[in-house]
Amino acid sequence: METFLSKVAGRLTEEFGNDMHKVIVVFPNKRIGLFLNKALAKNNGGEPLLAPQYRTIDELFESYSDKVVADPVTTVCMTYQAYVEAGLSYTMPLDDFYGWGELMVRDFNEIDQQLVPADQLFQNAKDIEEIDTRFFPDTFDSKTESVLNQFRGTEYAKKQLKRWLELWTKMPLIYHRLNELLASARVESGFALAYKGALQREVIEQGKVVAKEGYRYVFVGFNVLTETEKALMEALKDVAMFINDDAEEDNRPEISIIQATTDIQQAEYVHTWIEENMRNGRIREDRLTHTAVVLADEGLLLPVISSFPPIKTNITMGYPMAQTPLLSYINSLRAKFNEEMPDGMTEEYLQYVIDSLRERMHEGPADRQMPYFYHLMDEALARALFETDKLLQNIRTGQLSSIQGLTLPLVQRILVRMLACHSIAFHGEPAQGLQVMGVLETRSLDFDNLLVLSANEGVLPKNERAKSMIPYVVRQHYHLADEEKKVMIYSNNFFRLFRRAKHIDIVYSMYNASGEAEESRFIRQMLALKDWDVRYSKLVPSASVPVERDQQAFAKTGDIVEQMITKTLSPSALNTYMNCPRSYYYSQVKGLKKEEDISEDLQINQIGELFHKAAELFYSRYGDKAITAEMLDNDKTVEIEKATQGAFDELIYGKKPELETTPGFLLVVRGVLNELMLRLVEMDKKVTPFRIFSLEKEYYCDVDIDGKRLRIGGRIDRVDLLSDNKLRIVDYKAGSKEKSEKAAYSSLGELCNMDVYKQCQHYQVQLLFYSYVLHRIYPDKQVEPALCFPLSSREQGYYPRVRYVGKDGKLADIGTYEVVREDFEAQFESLLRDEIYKEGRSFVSPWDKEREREESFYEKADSTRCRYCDFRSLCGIGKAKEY
Amino acid sequence: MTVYKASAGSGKTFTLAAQYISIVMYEALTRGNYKAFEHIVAMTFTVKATKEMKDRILSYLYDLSQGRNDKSFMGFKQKLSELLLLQYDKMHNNQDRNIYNHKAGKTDSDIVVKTDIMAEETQEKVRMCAREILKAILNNYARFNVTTIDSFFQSVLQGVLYELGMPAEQQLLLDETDIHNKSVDRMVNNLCDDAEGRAILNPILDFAKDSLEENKSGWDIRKELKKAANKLGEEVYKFHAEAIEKESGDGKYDELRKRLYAKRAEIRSEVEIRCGSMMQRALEKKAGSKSPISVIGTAARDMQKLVWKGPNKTIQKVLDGEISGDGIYHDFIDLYKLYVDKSRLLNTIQIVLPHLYTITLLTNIERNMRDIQRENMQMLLSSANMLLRDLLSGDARSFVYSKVGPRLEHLLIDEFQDTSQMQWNNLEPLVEELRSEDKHSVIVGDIKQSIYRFRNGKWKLLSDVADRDGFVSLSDNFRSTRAVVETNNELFPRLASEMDGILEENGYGSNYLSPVYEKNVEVHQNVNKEGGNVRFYMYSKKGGEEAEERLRIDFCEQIKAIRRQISESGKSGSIAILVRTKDEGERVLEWLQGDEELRGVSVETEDSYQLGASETLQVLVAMLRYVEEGDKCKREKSIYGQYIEDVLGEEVRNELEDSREYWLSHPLYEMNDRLIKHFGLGQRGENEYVEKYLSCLKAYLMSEISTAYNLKSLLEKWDTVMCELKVNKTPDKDALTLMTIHKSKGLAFDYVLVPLFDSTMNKEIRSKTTLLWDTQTLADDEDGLKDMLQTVSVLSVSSERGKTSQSLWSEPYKEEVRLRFMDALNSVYVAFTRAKEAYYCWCAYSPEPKTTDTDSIGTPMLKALSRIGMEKEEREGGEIVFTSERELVEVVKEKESYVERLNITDNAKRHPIVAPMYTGEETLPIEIVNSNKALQLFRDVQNDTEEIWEQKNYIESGLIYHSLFENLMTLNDEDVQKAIDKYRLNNELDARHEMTFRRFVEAARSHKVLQEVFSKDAQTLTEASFIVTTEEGVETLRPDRVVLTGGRAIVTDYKFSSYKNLMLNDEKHTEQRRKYYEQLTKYVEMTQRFYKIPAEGWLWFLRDNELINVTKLNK
Repeated sequence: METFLSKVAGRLTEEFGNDMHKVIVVFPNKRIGLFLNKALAKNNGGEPLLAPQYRTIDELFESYSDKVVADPVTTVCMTYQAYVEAGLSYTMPLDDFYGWGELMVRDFNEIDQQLVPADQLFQNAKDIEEIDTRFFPDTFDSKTESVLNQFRGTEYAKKQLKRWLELWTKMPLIYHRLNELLASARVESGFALAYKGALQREVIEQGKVVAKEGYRYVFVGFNVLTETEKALMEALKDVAMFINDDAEEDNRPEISIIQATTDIQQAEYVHTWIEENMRNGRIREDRLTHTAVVLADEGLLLPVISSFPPIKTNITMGYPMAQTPLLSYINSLRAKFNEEMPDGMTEEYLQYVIDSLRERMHEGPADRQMPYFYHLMDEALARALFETDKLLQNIRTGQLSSIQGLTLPLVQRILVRMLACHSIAFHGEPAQGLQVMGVLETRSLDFDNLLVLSANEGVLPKNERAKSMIPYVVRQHYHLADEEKKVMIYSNNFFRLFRRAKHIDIVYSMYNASGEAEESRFIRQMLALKDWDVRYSKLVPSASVPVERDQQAFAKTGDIVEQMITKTLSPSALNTYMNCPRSYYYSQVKGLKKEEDISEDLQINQIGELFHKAAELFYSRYGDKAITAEMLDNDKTVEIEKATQGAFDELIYGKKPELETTPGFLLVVRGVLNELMLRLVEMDKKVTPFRIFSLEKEYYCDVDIDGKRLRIGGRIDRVDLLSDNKLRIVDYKAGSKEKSEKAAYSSLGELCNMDVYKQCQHYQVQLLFYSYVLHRIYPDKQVEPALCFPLSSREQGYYPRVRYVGKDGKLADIGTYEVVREDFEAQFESLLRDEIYKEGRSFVSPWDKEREREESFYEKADSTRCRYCDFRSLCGIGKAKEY
Repeated sequence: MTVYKASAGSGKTFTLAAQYISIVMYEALTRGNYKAFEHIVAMTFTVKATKEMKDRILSYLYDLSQGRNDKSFMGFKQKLSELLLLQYDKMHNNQDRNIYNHKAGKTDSDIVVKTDIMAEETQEKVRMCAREILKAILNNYARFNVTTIDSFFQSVLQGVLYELGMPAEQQLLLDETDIHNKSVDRMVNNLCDDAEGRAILNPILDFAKDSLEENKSGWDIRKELKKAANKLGEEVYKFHAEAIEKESGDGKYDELRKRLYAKRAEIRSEVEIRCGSMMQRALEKKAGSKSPISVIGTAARDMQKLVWKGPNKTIQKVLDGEISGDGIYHDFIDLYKLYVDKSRLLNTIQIVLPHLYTITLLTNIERNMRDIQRENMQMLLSSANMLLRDLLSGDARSFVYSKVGPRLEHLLIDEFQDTSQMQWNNLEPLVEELRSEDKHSVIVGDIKQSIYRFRNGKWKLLSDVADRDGFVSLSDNFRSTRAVVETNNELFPRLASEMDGILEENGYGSNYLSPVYEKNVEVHQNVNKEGGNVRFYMYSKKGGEEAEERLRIDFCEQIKAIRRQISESGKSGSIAILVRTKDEGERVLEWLQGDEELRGVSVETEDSYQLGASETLQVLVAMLRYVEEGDKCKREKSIYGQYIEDVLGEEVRNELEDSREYWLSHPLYEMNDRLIKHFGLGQRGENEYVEKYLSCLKAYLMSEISTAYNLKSLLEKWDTVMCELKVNKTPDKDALTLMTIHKSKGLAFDYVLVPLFDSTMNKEIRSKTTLLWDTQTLADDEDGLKDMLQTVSVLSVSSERGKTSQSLWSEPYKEEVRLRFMDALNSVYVAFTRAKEAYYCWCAYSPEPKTTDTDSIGTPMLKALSRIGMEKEEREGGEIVFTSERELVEVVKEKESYVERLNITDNAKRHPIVAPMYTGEETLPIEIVNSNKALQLFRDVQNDTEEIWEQKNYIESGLIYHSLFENLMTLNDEDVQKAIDKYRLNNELDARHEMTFRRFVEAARSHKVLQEVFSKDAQTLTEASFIVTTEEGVETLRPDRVVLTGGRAIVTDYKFSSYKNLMLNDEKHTEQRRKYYEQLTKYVEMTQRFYKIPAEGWLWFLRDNELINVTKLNK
């Protein structure tokens, strides 16, 4: 099948022979020239010829004007100036206006490009509101306002309408003033500015379009035209030739519509598609240019590149600057700048960006192993420096120097947005290799094999809501249909591809980032309106067999046991073991640790720590004095406050002084801490008088395990000496009532039974563990373990103690350790001997047992002990779920 | 306007699509207008439903355009025909409004002739119209307005943002939770302890103490605050937001607190004094302990208990006046009355006081929320709806709509029962307007399926509209078997009336549920679906653990039986287990795990396909963390390192350890992608997870441009959002689906099991909460309490049966209870109507029910079941089984109501293409064009001496001089100036460059050959391109200047490098020289070939002003 461009080449040669240097070929986009050159050469049998000159239509317009197109930032800012000068009763700050400015410019552009009488249009836009409120046309008359209200809706609605009316009353002023402002601005070379539409309109209206002497013009591949474009072509028509690609061809390509689940799956499909088609001979090594991968979603470029097999390829799109780490870096500078220079202004900010970028540059080349990334960053850096510098110069001394309201946040936004639009070109010989391009870049080109990706509604064609300030009805009236035209161009362009292609595979995703996705309207058109044969397929993942993971044996070797025995066994280590031997292995044996960082966001255990510290500080004041109820009552307010303050000083501010000035959440913690302390003291009042025997003191004793000596013990929060000479072990739990209840649900016989070990059981075990130690140290003293939940102190009948489920199934108080001592000692020692320090056993996680039973339901573990385990990921358990 | 009440499975989408098409078809047939669709908006509730609706409309139109005439399509054509006739009638106004109740006027031949699309003679026209409509829609797809309510208003809002004084690029947020959370974080982080800060800190502290006391989640106050912030999403808050903010700012809530304390003290003391004296008097009577006087004396000690528990016999007698004689009895009656009266007040104060701080808290969170939105140029959709309300309710409405699109003439609204008040406020004026203009609109809904009250869904709106305008019931069930339909038909009215009975007995009003269920359940049978099975297992609450065990066994056995049945029939069948909450789901899972046979069956839950569950992704994330962690954590202590070692082995860990820097220097996408490829993570059988993850990553990178993303924030994103996202996987055919009833809405399964029915439903009814109530709903009182409370607009109230039901808020409370009953019953309805073939339900009942027991649905269920003629079997242990089974009659099913061409999904399934992930590490050899030398420029800008500048930038300068010379025609001064001007037209020109250029021109004048080259008489080609085909392909050659003069051609190329250097004889420069000569020679040869005249080639070194005649050299 003859391609469009070879047709064009034929026509050109026919008309102009082989010397075309005085022929100007106008294309919708410039790079087509490269392909046309190729077609011309082929057409000329390889003999040399003089190529025509290529122009885009915009370039042609500009060549007739003595103005230059202003950059978008300048245009919008000048629009703002015009807007401010218009003197509306309500004027937005530039920050808010910026987007509106863009819209206005866009509208002005369209109005001018369509040669619409602007003033008349503005008048109509104003009128539509008045027509609808025909009863009371004079909305500005304050006397009638109260009467109006009942008819015109609320005061609120009225205010909005007024804004609208006023804006459109002033719109002509803004429009003309903008043109003036631009025209009176001078770039350094002395040229005046204009926005694109105005420039084109002026060129047309002032009849500036004249053919260059001796030159001929050829317009190739245009289909949907603006009025200015039409006029331009009209003016040149005597010396111009028009070649359009609109003839229906009787071509029946093989078409497939392919469903994918995600867009990445589409990208991943590219290599399969290429390999498959090379195998079946559709794609030939020597005809790679005849195959194109078309990306409707430019964001898919990186994924496509990442899974593209190494064959000769030409990528027409650039690497999006927005996705380079550099842009993220520049973004991060925003916060840094605000922090370092809180009073910094826009110019300082831009300078700061430039300096930072330069500094980064001087860091020198990154890893030479990756020239690709190195060059990428290099280029991005250069581009960013260049653009930032340009913006800075423009603000300092250029067009923007007179603009009021360029606030820091706005400039930050503008800069990033400006940079994000850029892309960094890939190296490649355009007319060689397999082509990767966007939809619009396929204009005028033809391919044998096409793979179109992301053929989803909203992507193909791009979903740009009709963004305009001009009301729909007015737009309709003036035939302003920018969006529809864009879609038409898109559509023409897309379906044009079918005319000469042999195979077209169109892929779309069933889901996008926000959920269900729809196939492109073009697919629907194809199916419903054209009787083409279509094949339907669906991408399915390859059925690879999951890799069996090597489950390691967590066996307790002699060495490991030795190692374990050399360490002191604390109640928390014991608890870790009871909960899950695996996590004991990770933390105690392998010594794995989660990285801790103190932040304002206190973790639960830190709050507990604070409470312990506060209680310690509070009680240490009494020394070994007998503490009475009166004393506690007296100290309830001031001293508690002091103690909490002390705890904070030591544990928080001591480590991170800056938190003192920005207390935030800590204030809540303090408030609650005070409350807890108050409740603790209230609770302790009930056992007065008592003396403090020890505070946060460590107690140890030795136990013999099969002839080896093991040291056990730990730090006990508080030991009281009661009036009856008993030692009372107080262990604070800052936690919840629920836990205090749960803590009592094990029976005496099950205390040290790992198989039935429950979450809160360690409270009981811990207290008995301490009792065990203390009893060894002070064998002649009675010991009373007291598990203390200050939070629960106000519940009826609450008393700090340790409880267990008795033989009769009822809860019983342990009272003094003596009551359970024999039972506990036997259990405890057997636990140490036969389980924990037993060689040959293994570190089995309860999770293993659960996993054995169920394969699919990972979540279950969350509800139990794994939820807060630091090592959960090591067992392959996902993140904890919030309930 | 037509209101359809559409029971489950009654072909709602079918009806809506038919309505839609009837409107466009009517216009097309009668007026030749194919663009009527531009004036229709069809609204659905979800994006998924939107797509379904679009598919359906387009497919029907396509079928019409193809002239499809087979039997299964006739149903649709028939329907369409009826609707068209109706419209015709309406236009001609010669039929009465209730035409739906007749058999749509088919006998009236007069009308039929006009538009009956079934008739032979109209076929061609119908086809043509359908095709034209289809074309019109597809060619102007943006106006094919099938949308969710939210996105409809979103587009309206976009049209009036300027008028609202907002920035143009406002981003609308649908999800409120995220911003609630951020607001709470910000509020908490900015707390301070000064006088002003206290105003915020104090309510938070109150809140913190409360939640610690109630112990919702221990210490995690932040989390509790975030939960509390959800109240901001309630409409009652939103409607009063402004007022609340003001009242809160004016200290009204603090003031109220003080006044309530005072009031409470006042009432208490008044009552207590009288109680005290009553006790005293009774005591003084010295009556026997059982005597009535003593009894009332004791009662006076705790009047609250008396009122709460109700009087015992003796006291009742006293109250009834049966015991009298002593004045004290009379006084007691007075006291009792007083107490009842006052206790209403006390209760009211009691349910309000503890939550007063809530409002202050909420306003503070809201303030932070507004700031955040403002800073990020975001707006919550709900706030947007509030803003729109005023614009859309007044005359401004038509203005607003005319701004955004073509005139709206028809509205079709689906799932109307889920519409919220706020949405309706904005829609109603439009609906009314269309109604007054007699435009055809359609509303479809089903109160029975309204289960989203917690999301502000308000079914009353539907019942109001239906009450006013009348409605049509869609009465054919297309989904379920006879057994299911008939059982439901009998069961629901019965159950509704039993539950009504409970409401009535407990004083919550009467006849509340029945009207909804009686009128609507006249579901007819679809003949294609005979057979089916329904079974209820009622087990006694008294049965203890044994009953529980039986339940488990019955349940598992039932599943096994269904699975056997399915496998015997050789067809596939879906089985769903429906529960109310996740916790229940876990319980059910435990049962399944406990069963030998079912243990191996995979169960799909809502969390099944979460990304976080994928080991591959876990190890990838561990790698990312390991890389990110750097040296912060000692290598051997790193959990992530350990994990990588566990999963992939020690070598991988070591390799990663050594290449941290390397990986860190990748852009984020490439870092992920290459880690996956390099370590073979794409070959672990979890490609769907990996692809979904990369998709999310891509979306993340695109969306977070405005905020600085980096590895750390990606990992945070993983933790908070990504790991919970799900893979869109086609469910395993054999798997059991386990889901909540709420999620099941809109779905259908062959077999449905509801195993924990009673606890499920009871939760709906019982849950104790605090509610936000409008103070306008307070009842009157004589003590001024109402007035006091009405100094504020909204209060947070604890809703509990005891106090709230006996307070000034008793009516709203009763309404709340009724609504909960409705929610519960609706959930039952939704659950039971999901079944296509059969459903099974397990429910506990209490053998000795109490009439005051409003909490259990077991009792009404049992009663209802006993009365509807199901087969009943009593088993041991108090278990009762009800069964309804219908005989299966094989009927050939006619599937596919529309043809296949447009149905991509079904077609595609048949041709799977296996698409493995790319596993090669070698990818596209791409290079970045190093075009921009700006970097060089910036790099050396510090040591910017003239010399370096010149040296380093000769390429840039070269470009400038090239184009200057391109414009230079001759060497005379006028032309030189022209060239300079022309250059300036498009570029800036440095004075230095201008000077240099003039210097070059001066130099040129000294060369004879250059004089020729720049002579007026020569035919000049500047920067023209020759195209030539060589062995390597097509080559483009661009000599700087070619002139034809004196019968020969002179080809000149400008060089800006150093001539002297070039002439050096070292290797580098020799090579360079060779290249230059070769290139120029090429130019010369081509020029000769092209012009067929002799040509010579010159290299001009401008900086040194040296000329080389290359042609001569070659010779």
